Amino acid sequence: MLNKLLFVFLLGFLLLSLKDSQISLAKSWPEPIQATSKYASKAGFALGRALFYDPLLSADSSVSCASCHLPYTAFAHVDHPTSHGIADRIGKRNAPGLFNLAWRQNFHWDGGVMHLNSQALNPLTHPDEMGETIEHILLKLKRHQHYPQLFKKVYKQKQIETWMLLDALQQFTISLISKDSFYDKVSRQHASFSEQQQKGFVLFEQHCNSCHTAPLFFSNRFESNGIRIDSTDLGRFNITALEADKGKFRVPTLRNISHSFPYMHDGRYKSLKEVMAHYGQQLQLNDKQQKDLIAFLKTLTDTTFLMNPQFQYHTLNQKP
Amino acid sequence: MPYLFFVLFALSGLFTFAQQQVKLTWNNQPFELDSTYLLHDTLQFQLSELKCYIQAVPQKGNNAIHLIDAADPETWQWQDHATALQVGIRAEIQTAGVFTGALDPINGMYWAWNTGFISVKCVGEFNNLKTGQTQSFEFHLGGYQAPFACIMAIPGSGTILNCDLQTWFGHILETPPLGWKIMQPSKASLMLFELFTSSLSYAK
Repeated sequence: MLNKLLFVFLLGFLLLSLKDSQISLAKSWPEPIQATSKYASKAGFALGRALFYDPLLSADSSVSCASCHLPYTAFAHVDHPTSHGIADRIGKRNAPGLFNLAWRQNFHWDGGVMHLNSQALNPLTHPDEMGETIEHILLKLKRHQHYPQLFKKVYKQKQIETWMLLDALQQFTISLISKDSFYDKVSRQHASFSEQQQKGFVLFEQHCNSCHTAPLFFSNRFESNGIRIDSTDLGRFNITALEADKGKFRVPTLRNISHSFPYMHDGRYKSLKEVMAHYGQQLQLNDKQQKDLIAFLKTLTDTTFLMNPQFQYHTLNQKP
Repeated sequence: MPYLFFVLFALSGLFTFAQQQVKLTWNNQPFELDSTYLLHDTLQFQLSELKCYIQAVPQKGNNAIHLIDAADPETWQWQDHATALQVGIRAEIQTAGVFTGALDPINGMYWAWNTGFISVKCVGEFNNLKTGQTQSFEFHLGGYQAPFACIMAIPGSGTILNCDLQTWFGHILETPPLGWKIMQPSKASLMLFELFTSSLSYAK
């Protein structure tokens, strides 16, 4: 009897230790950089989500934020190499996936924007994207059947102002957190890599992790990865005017990479195979090693996140 | 009791606000948007937009930032306790996110592509009466990062600030060509901004 009790006690202790280690793994993520809204609430999240999916925000009410940032493709755009705006206008940069944004120091491929709450200004007003003015968006929101009430519920004031529009969008986008991939399950010791994935992981740690650093699989740096640079887009140089920054772009996340094609700042590579062919030459990786690396990269797909109904389109009156 | 008066007198200095004013002129005459003005007898200028940020220095209390808009006479005067001014907004504010009031992005002075504010925005065109050629121009002069930060103190102090646009454009035409579409921080942007600031003076 005493032995049985001792066994149960030890088993309990072991399970608790395991649970603790899971918590500590979860805590191993760095502290977020972007501040959470002081108006953060369920209603604020729902308002931000409604705005994110509403084409009303574009000049001709034809495209929404979600037109280039679809939930099933990790909030990236997979139809074109670069963004697709109003009147079939095509932008010059690939629309990146939107998730884990709280850990980003700056936004856009050149890092020109420092705050998540001001990031949306660019796509909203850019003539090749949503092509609208803030003034006109606010006017449309004020005249809308539902939005005035929804804004008042979150911000406790009757007037809809620019900062409220941006804050609501931020409340939604900052909540897009992806941390439940197969890789994460392996980290939590709930699963284990196949032999090929394990080999890919070893290669990843050798060649990729210094820039695409786990657990976020990006870094807040700007790098040139050896691709041919188009002189019409010099990346970080456009912001800093420093010679050393010519042709440098931000290091993107590799989480959900299998779902956020095409790749690079201009979407020049359609598949992971093409990306690996580029790096394979640089890092002298043979075909088998490239395949192993791709197998590992696919473990970064977080289907819980991709299919999360909370992040998908809801009608304005639908509960969060 | 006398101490109380002294304390109240000293404190009142902190809350004294003076009426301040910007006078927009062209060759000492009141300036108006969309009117035509002559320079060097041959160049006919017309401005459709002119805005600039003025900030009190040193900053006390709230940040006392004023957006001067040539289209809105109400913005040409304000109350402030400081009589020394700078053109442009200090970097700590430029990098602190989205604000309301004079700093609301709705005013068209906040760059969407690059964190920071435009300090001086000027849009217009000029006709060369001799050749019949028209040249449009658009200047967005701003940013807070060295070496092209467009933030500069206006020498001296006073309550009436004169901004003579003929002086500014006269200086622009005297310098080697800088370009007529200058819309991001650069050497040319800084040069135009310095010329703008040098065309400002306090009334004596």
